[in-house]
This record gives sequence, structure tokens and C-alpha cells, in this order.
Amino acid sequence: MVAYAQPMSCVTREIVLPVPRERAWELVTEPDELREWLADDVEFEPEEGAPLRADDRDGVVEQVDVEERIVFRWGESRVEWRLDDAPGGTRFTVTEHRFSDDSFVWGPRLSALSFMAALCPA
Amino acid sequence: MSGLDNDVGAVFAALADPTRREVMRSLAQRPGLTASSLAGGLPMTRQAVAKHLTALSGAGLVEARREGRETRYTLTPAPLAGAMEWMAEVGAEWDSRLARLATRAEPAG
Repeated sequence: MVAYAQPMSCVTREIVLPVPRERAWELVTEPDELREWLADDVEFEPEEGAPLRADDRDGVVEQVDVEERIVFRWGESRVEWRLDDAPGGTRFTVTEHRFSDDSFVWGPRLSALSFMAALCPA
Repeated sequence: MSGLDNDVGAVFAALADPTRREVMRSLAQRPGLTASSLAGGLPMTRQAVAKHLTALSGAGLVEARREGRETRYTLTPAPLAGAMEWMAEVGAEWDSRLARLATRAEPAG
């Protein structure tokens, strides 16, 4: 197991899907749907502790709040998917955090860790 | 390096402001944005963004590059290059996934 420390860098994206929450949940949880947009080869079950695979990335589902939120790990990152009501449909927000590991060597100039943590939403 | 402490102080002063961190977050994910496109994605005016960009380039965190009539901004801190690269790459991956998802979510017909 990799020892995960503080989140170091993150990426956030959001999109409003012109569908109700229920349909949005299907789009982000059903393997047949996920194969259309997430990866070619997807193994996924919206259940805490379920193993997942997306092409060459392996991971595990960590948290599931039906029609609201999914947190999973894949590769060296943790990903959060969130669904919220939005005008015209359902907002889908993706946040991917990469975790530090010992193999990552930082330059001495700044405390890179705290710097990157500052860039990530709390 | 004698300037190191001052540099670090300037960096953290620049980062103390949550709005500037927001600006940096956007630049980290989409390098080369203009002040106008940054303002488009954030709840603030172009003028406010320009002010923050000035503070950030004063701290050496952001570099301005003239391109024709536009000025494009990029994050500069060298020790963070790896992290920036990751953010740009992962951001681009999510952009294409979400574009496919949006197509998928279109009402049929």
C-alpha cells in the first residue's frame, strides 16, 4: 500500500448535464454509461469498498451517497464526483487530488506541499 | 541565496489572499489564460483580476507574455513544475471525458 499524505495538487471541473439527478446518477455509475465517456474498459460498482478499474487504472470506491456523491481512488489520486441541482439540469463536479509519495522530489525553494495545498479547495 | 527569504515572504503574502489563490488555481489548470478569460471563469471583474495578476507577478508566481494584442499568464514557480504539469494533464483528461459525457447526456433526437 502507498502511504497517502496530504493532498498536493488538484484539478476541478464542472459541467451542467441537461438531465434530472436520477439520470445523471445513471450516467456516472452504470458501467455501460461509463464506457461511453470515462474509459473504454470500465469496471465499477457504486458501493463502498468495491474495486474499480478504468483502462489501466485500478482503484477502489471509498464513499457513496446515492444521487449525491462518490469518492474513489484510482492510480495515485483520489477523485470526488458530486451531483447538485442546477438550473436546466444537474451539475456534475469532478475533483481529482493527487497524493504525495516519497518518490516525488521537490525543489528547496518553497514549501511546495503547503503551496499546492493552498491551491486546492478545502 | 540572499533573496530567498524575501522571495518566499512575497510568495506567501501573495498567496494569503483567497481570491489570488483562486486566480492561481485557474492558471494552474489552464496555463496561458488572458485576464479577460480568467475573469470569465471567476466571480470578479477583469480589472480585479488584472490587479491580482500584478501582485502575483510581483511575487514571481506568474509570468505575463505578450501575444499580439493579448497578454497571457502562466504560473512560474520552478519547483512546482511537476505539479503544474500534472494539473494541466489531468485537467485536459477531465475536459475530454466531460465533453463525451455532455454528448451522452443530450436528449435523444
